[in-house]
Amino acid sequence: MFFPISGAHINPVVLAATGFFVGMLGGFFGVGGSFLAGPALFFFGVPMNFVVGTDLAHITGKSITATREHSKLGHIDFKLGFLMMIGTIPGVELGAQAIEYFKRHANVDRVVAIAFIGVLVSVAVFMAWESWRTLRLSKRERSAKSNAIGGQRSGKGDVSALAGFAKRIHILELAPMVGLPKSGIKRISLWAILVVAFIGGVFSGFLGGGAGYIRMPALVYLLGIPTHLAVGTDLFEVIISGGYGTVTHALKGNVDILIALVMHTGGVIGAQLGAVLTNYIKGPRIRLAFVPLPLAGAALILYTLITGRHMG
Amino acid sequence: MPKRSSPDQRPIKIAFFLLLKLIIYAGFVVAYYFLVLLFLRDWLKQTFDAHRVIYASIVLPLIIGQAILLDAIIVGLRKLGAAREKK
Repeated sequence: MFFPISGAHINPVVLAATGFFVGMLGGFFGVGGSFLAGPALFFFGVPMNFVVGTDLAHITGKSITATREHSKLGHIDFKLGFLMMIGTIPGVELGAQAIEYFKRHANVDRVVAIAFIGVLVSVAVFMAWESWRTLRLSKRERSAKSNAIGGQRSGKGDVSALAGFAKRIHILELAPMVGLPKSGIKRISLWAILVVAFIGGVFSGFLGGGAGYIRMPALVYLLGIPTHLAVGTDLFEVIISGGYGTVTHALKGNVDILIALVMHTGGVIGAQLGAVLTNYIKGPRIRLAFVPLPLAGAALILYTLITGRHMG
Repeated sequence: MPKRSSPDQRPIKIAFFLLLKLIIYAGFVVAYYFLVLLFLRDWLKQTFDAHRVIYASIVLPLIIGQAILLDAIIVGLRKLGAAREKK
């Protein structure tokens, strides 16, 4: 089927099936799913600037469903989500402006593809290393309060080998300080939250999607948010970054809304299924299971980049 | 007193309702494809080419509207399945 806005030929059934798969994984891991949706769209023959904008639109729609599910389960720290908005929106705009720059001055497909591969491989390697370390901790060490994320046991076996790093950020006295009672954090510098949000926003605006692959680990490891709350809050944040990103990229001519709408039809069912699954699996195991997915996305981009072959 | 299915029958029943929900959902989606892709495609393309600000202002309501609509369908199907299962 021909999609006239981006000029791509894609089978709508394959597109909806991709949406379903991405939606399920996104709902489960608490990320928008752009680590697979973006590479898949590029593989289908969509130009990279349209991949970024279209993926943002698709992720926005899908996150609404997934966020509702997580909200019902009490997995969203709304105070944190609203504070993060202040950093997210300027970050998204900066990312979108960078896309415009590369559209004018360089080969945007190649630049974004290489950046995408670098980010996805780095995220996978880091999460594999951290999850492996956490799972190797003895039961006694795991039950020790010093390794619990968020300063308290979340009741879902949520520990991290890097919990000490988040604690160092919690004691950083850089005014204004805020409390996040839902996440079990008594005091944290607002600047730490804004920096995490801004970086997530830049990735979202430049690579598309919600950038959950950056924001979710940052929430867990840097801010010390329990994994199940990081998952829900990240999805809430994806609505903000995705919504703003969709509009700003649409103004710049980077959104094929028809592709986003078709892909989203499959994503709705997948997102619901994925969100329910998070209730049955513990934090470190969720993070370890996440590892192969960014690598699969990176491999897909690399294949498309090297061979120049598109599925469409 | 309502009849309860035996433990052996439950997975079959769950799979049946899941399949039924998927078929109904697929019907809605196919109808939706025709509605959106055939009727809106040309208009969206023209708007994208000629009126970028209008295009940018309708993309977000379109995707959010679809998310709410499909979500309502899914919730409705889920309730229908739960009611049938109770019977």
